Amino acid sequence: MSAAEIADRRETGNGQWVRSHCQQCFNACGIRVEVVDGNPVRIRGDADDPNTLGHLCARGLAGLAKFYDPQRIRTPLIRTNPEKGRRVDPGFREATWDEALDLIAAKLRKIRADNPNKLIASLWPYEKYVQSSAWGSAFGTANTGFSFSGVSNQCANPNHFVGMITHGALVEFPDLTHCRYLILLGSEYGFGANQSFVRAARELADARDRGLKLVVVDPRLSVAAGKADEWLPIKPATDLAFLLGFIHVLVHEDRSYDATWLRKGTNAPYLLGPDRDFVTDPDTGKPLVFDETAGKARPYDYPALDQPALEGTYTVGGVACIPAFQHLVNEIRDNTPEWAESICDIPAGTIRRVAKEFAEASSVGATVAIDGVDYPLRPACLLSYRGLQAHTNGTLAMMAQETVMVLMGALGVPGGLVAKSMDARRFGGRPQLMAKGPDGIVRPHATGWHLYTEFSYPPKSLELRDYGPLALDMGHLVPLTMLEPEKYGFDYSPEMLLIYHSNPFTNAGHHEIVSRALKQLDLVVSINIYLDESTDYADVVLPESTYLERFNLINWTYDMQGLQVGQPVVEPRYDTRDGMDILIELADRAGFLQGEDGFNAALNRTLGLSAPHALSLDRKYSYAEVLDIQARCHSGGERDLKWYMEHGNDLRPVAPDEKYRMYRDARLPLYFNSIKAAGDELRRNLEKYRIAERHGLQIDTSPYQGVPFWQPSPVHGEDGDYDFYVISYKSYMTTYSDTATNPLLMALSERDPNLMRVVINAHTAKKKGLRDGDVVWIESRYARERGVVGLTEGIHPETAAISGGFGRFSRHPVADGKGTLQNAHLPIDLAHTGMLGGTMETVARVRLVRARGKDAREH
Amino acid sequence: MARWGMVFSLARCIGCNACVVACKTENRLPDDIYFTRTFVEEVGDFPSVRRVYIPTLCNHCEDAPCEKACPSGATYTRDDGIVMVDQDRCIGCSACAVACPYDARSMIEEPSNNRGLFGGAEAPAAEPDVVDRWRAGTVVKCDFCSRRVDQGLSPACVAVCPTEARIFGDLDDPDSAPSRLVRSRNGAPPLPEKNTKPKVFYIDY
Repeated sequence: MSAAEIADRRETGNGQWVRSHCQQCFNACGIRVEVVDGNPVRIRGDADDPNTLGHLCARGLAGLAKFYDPQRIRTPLIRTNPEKGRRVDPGFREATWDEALDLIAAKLRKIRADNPNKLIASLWPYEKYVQSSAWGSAFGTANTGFSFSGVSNQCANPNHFVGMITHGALVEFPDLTHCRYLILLGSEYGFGANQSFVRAARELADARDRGLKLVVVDPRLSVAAGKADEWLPIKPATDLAFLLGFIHVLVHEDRSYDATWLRKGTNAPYLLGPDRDFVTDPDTGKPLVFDETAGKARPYDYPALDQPALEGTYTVGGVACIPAFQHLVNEIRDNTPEWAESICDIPAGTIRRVAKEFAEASSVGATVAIDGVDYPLRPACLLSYRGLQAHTNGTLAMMAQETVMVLMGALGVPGGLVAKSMDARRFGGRPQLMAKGPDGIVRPHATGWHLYTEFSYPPKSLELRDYGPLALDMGHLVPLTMLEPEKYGFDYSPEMLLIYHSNPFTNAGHHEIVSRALKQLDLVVSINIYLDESTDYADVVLPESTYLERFNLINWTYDMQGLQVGQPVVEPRYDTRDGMDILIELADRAGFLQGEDGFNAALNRTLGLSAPHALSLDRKYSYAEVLDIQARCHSGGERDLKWYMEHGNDLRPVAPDEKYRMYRDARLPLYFNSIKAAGDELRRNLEKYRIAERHGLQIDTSPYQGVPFWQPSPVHGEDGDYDFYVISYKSYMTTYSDTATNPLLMALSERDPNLMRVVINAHTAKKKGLRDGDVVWIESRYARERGVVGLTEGIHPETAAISGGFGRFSRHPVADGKGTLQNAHLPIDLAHTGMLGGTMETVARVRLVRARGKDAREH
Repeated sequence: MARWGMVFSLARCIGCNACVVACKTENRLPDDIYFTRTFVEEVGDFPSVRRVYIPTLCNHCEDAPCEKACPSGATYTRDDGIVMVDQDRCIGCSACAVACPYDARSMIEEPSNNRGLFGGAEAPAAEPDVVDRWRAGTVVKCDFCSRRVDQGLSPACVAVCPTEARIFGDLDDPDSAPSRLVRSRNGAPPLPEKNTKPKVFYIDY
């Protein structure tokens, strides 16, 4: 550490510096806030945060705007105008907390006694969504978490889902200390989006300094693509085709996979019967492999097993079978790079060359010793995120990414993709090894996440998880299904929505459906900092404190142990409360805080609390008290919340053996047998309950296969009149459109030539007679929004790009009317939903029509 | 006595504007005034196109045209090479701003710095001495965060930079990070033809 860095810890100024962590996205970067006379006056990075080293992004540095915003809600509000609608004034009157909470609690009690599923709990406070989701579970509703305004649009659900079942990775990180070749697909890792931006930016810059080659696959010249060694412009929603062509090169042309690892460390040699299920040993029930040396089938864990076959056709017990690897080889046979080019627009020669470069960089067979332990060294990563995954075929595409990484033996090893697990470590506990199932395959832990939803009919989940058992969330479907519950088989209709830090108009789709759904509910409650597009439909608004006035205790790093505090740097300025305290209060008043099934018990489970440091089930705690117990529990009684308030964090790197190969001797799936099995079960249930005949619902079970295969997105075949694929993207100056209220960030965003525009290819524009700065109507089947054309050389010719950070139509004077909304063009229906992993199709077809008359004036 | 200078790595800069916001909030600058900016340039034609982000600030020239142009003596160079503007002596003639080939100087038209972030009367979100620092009718510019430097800190933009694209240090010390980078990576000053001898250099261009 340089002298300058050490010196920076002192900081200048006359005020008192208070440590905390940022909460303007979910990366929890350490900050210090200077307070003078009870006013926060400056935010800087905390040089004692070993994850960020005191660096911070534009949003973090501009965070005071949240606190000082004159639009903040200062007291609970209750609607007086019965009419609800877009920009219809709700006529809010001020209320006391008691009046507002009692009104809500009375409704909660009634619903809970009747049918808890009639409550939709849409809970999405970035840094504590798992804790808040536990509130919905304790209430008893199936509609909790990301329900109604899902991350199915905002996030990369397939990454979480497929990452978890492949190697326990809720999120994957490239191990940049060793990596030499990185391919980013629809991801800006290290350039502004994806996880852990501040640290990733430094690590990737360092790695590139050391010679890492960066290839970026993206329809648009993203920041990453603009800085990359090579940009491969791809047609939107066709990344799956690119990856299938890539796999084809690895298994058919180059044969450059890690065969030794596939035999030992994966289910690649497991034999599949004609039904594509594992052929099992009649005595033990264990999957069989074919030992080439012995010339016979053996259980996968047979002690004297010599050389399990990866290829060939065998007959075992009279049944024809093939190793799972051979199945992949067969299935991928026609997906040549030339085939891929015809779909994704990336030249076959480029796919072939990049795949071969990648395979060579993977250095199969190499090892590296770390702390005296030899690990495989696989310094090549393929990392995707929302751009690849937020499509109906996104889960198949993510399966294809993991297929590549499993083929090369590059998961959980130095240089490859390392897992951030969803284990107790997030709340301060120790990293946990992954479990192994009786079939020898890894079993991930997934605190707070549903990796499997049991089928039930009538269905319970308004997201239709009952018909999509592996979907992490399909929250965007809730406004659709609740409008016609009987059509989907429901025997109830929801009555109440609680929205906590979410805004369905900016994160779901088709506004008319969202609007109609919001109007239909008896009671809409919003926990919010400002009034926004969605609070125009709220009956009660509960004001939340900003992140500079509330507590948190979390670990968002991928390779550190310990906790980081978020704390009030000043007392709440207005009559506001921490959102978690509001949830505790509501649980108390509605009678589900205490007891074995209460919110306290749910928090004990979620936070991994155990005696003597656990919540009693018979009393009420403040959220700060909960965090104090959490701190004590995970430090063995050594540290309490006060310690963290003073020191900020106790983050320290985990040992290498707690970072790498956390699956140990559990095998990773090259063949996604759990997906195949879930699909078979779903198909049986859909037939048994005659869902298609009863409701006319065609649930597509075809994607539930053990290996990825090509499935087009519905946007590829539709709407010839709409000649652009419109995509959305993220800037490092925005967190969704939540940051659009920040005058510092908005001033900078407006200085950017294209950030607030609808950006298209300059050559395409010329052909269509569009010019830079033209005001246009962006028209789709679902919306007609105004935008300003921006031209660039850096975008696929059929693509239009709109930042997801703007386009607000709230009453907020800073946010209102700047930029344009992409998500208004997204349909909300089953055809545009990837029900396998749970994702919305986030590409839409639009056309750009030059505005005329007064509409043409730039706003 | 040190001779402070800065190196920008164009390979490392990703244009994220953390530096710009750090500077704005460190100095509580009026809305339209920026001491440091990042420019973005698209280079090439589809599909062979890339983007360059170019950070800029006052170059603290050794042979500073602004200082020569200043009739009131408000612009001066400290012993450690930081080019300063004395707000008390500045008469607002803008001769320095015209003389600067880098567009690094701005006239404060109105003292909007005393307003809050939202332009109203809410607390200004800055220390009182920072709020009162700028006067309407004077010219202002980056001073390498001289008050931080005097306390042994790096400028705010350097301290926060996520990619460590800004490297600050003593150019008279041959072992300082900026000296080594200028030597080993062909550090180039901006607009060398102007002969201003900047103490800011670009590498990895």
